[in-house]
Amino acid sequence: MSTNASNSTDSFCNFEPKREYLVPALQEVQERDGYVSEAAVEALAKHFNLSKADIYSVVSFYAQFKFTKPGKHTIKVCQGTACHVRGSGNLLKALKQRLGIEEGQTTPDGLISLEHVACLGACALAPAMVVDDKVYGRLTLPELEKILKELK
Amino acid sequence: MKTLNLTIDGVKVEAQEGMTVLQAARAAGLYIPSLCAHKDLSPYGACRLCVVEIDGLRGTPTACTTPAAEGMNVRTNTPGLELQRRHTLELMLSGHPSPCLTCDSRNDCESVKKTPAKAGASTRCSLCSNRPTCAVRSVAIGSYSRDIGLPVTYSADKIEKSDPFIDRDHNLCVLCSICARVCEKLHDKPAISITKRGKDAKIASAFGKDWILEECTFCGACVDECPTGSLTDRWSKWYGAPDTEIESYCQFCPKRCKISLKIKDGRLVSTGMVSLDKESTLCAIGRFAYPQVFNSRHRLTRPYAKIGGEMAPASWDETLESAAKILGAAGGGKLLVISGENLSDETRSGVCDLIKGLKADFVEMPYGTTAADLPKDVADKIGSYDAVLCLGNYLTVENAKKAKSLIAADFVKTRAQKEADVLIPFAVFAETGGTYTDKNGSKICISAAVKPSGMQRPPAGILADLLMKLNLPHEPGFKPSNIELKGDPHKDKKALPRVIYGSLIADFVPDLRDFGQEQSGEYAPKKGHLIGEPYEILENTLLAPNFHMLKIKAPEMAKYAKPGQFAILMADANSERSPFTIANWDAKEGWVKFVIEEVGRSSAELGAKKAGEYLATVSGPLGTPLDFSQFDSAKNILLLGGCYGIAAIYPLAREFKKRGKRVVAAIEASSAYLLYYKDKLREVSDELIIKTRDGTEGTRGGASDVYGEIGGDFDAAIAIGCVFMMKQNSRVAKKTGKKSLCALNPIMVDGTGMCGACRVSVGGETKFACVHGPFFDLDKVDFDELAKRRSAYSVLEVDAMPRHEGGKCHQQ
Ligand code: SF4
Ligand code: SF4
Ligand code: SF4
Ligand code: FES
Ligand code: FES
Repeated sequence: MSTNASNSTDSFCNFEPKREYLVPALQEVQERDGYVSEAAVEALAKHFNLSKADIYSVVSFYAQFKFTKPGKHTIKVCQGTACHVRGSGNLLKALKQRLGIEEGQTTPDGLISLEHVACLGACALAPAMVVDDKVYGRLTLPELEKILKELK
Repeated sequence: MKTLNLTIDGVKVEAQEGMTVLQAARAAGLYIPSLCAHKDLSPYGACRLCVVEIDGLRGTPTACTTPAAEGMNVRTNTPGLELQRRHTLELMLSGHPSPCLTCDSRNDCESVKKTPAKAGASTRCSLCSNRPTCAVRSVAIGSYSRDIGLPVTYSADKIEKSDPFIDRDHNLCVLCSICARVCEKLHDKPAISITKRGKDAKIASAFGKDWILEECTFCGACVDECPTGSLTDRWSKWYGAPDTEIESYCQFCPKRCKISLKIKDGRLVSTGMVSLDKESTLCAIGRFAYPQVFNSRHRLTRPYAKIGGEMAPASWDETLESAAKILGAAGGGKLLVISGENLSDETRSGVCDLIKGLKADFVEMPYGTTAADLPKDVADKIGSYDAVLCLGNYLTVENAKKAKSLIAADFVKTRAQKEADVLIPFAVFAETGGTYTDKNGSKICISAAVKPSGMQRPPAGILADLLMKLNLPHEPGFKPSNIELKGDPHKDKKALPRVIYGSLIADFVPDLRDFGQEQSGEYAPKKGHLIGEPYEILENTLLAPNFHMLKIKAPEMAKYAKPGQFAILMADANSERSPFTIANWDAKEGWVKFVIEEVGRSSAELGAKKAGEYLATVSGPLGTPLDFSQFDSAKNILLLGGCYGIAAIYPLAREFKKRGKRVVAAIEASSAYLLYYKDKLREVSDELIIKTRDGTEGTRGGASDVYGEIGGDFDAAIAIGCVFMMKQNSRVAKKTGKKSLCALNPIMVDGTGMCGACRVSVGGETKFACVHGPFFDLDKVDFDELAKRRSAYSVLEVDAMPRHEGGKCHQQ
């Protein structure tokens, strides 16, 4: 995984600098780095001869692009109907407060990213969340605290 | 070019090939509502207000993107189109603070409030600096806006003030993208763009960062073209639309860009581009700094001379006489003349004649240098001359002290001028004209556009008078300046001019610190000393946009406060004194509460204070409390409150209640999001009636409607609110014939009887609200006269506004 601008350039150099190739180029950056960094936007701006504002406008239009580097661990909170009814909203709120970040962000130490997903398909376990690949269900606040403490 | 024949709304119209339907209609003087179409930008087609029906074309195409064609038959205002437009406006304006657009009393209100109030946030047109020129507003009003069923989703997003010069209020943005398109047109690549989408969509720079950190050069074009009040020039916005624009040249740097001087009532209030094309782009100095330097409170506006050993204000004649005497005595190598390079040909030629005539030594300070750059060998020799003549700020205090005799000429006051024997004020920029020949020999001629604010005169004329007094001839052989510009200020923020006539521009324009420009400390404020005890703020809650509730620790005041009284507050030692009604108090806990509407300098400073911080002054209680004995025989009391008055009627309601009266409170606001204190008022009244101008809460209308409907059932009524609100209620009061009062606190300026701002005619007698009031007979106050006198204070109030929110030093 690389974040520096010169490496970013390499990977999309093979796209012709035409506006219609901007989205594919962005997809490639996101695939490789896990997010679209400021350095990548700057390099893309140079390559496509566009302003950074131009590129940011495109990137921010699509929900698929992320702006923050994913943390070592990713927590996804289920916001499906079943989980919602059973208080996943509070779960998400507790996580935001505890981690001091919003959805789509990563803690400053780079350890944890927070996201929400539509439905994990674990409705029986509601409220549920996934940490990396592991599903946790029927969560309570003390349990949540324990899980967070164990993430290193 | 081919001429096309079209029919628009049954009118035969000629158009040129290549025109759009919208252009064809406009050329023929026909109106089609439009918003995102801009005469200098290519068609965009986003707002969908310009929809039309065209025979043979399906649906409702947008006139601004449809090319005119031979034989076209266009309809612009069928019932179907009008409905469609109304829906479009509903969507566009639902998040917009639009109660004024749908208000039934709009015309009446705006005839009283001729200029919008200088509010912190534009929560409606009457608090929006864009009102005089707003395109959205005129389209909405033109489209029967009162029938628009606007769902109100105003979200009171915080106004972005962290950039230099530009305020951004995204609540007002209609996403027409004119700003971004203008930026792209002028700079090829836009520094800003519409980012995100849906309800999050907003105009922003890359990553939503402050613009100063990104690609923006602060040319200001987007601000000038934005059709709404979203993007505004923080410094000039409240002056209102200019009445005159004069094409001239910028005199800050040798690039001498063409510049449009925007003048209102004879005063330069802003500057801008002469036309919207790449060649006419301005840099941040030309667009934003120019009017701020020009109008700086540090300008030197009158001459001084040492007469009888003391520096004192002097007439021009006395001043020039003294100067000529000093110069004449120092002829023949005993005189040192210092001037800058960036001067008009006429001024340079005058300096040249003087030097030659008096055989003086001459130091020309290169473009961009200041007093600190005076060569050391020159500085060392200052004491050896009989006299020094310095044009511009080129002497440090230390060097000025060395001069045996000093004639200082400048456009601003400086500390070194304390050492001068003669002080000469220069007219500069728009105040003066002149020829500038550049290094290639091409000339531009500038003529003066406004009168100087004081006694200052153009430097060339002053020099000519001196030469005459000294009997010196005009000498040939002067050379025009030959300044090389390093870098392009239009492209590179680092290449912006930093110095003007030896002074640092950032000294007058603090926002330039964000561009990495330094201040000299020349004008650093002296530490103010506090008057009396500082008062701790226990709480500052935003009750509604612009309405702050300040809870202040003030045990003495809390002990003695009575309903109807006010106090004088000062945020800082050098703030203005301003009176505010005491809204609540608790003698036991030792606090008082004020509800402060942010509509000017003092209230903005107070609103910015946080809990735990201190106010410099809180003195009170002042003013005559309401005399409740006059209501002894009354049983039913009606209290009417609007704006700040909602809080002001609270202590009255509480006291009336305590005295066993039946109290009905009727409060009004433009829209639901501007209401506050509802629960508090319910606690102390038998009934609370809510009115909103747009009908978003309670019933549609104002407090005077309530008064008109049920006033007959009450023994007395008291109305407190803005001048317009009280005027409306006074009309009703005249009819009821019952006891009625108003409180005139909102018109007081310093609350001491000194300023005269609160002078009112009550039943033909002249009174001062702060001394004789605040309560007067509602039916006897002459509100029309009051409104007229209020508007006279407008310009002075703008001058006093704190308008330097940038300057946060982004370049650390
Ligand atoms: S932008 Fe226009 S419509 Fe909106 S509040 Fe300001 S003046 Fe009124
Ligand atoms: S101020 Fe000029 S450069 Fe900056 S965003 Fe506006 S138009 Fe673009
Ligand atoms: S900021 Fe002004 S010009 Fe830009 S999109 Fe919004 S309303 Fe239009
Ligand atoms: S003016 Fe035509 S779509 Fe906006
Ligand atoms: S407020 Fe100034 S005289 Fe009354």
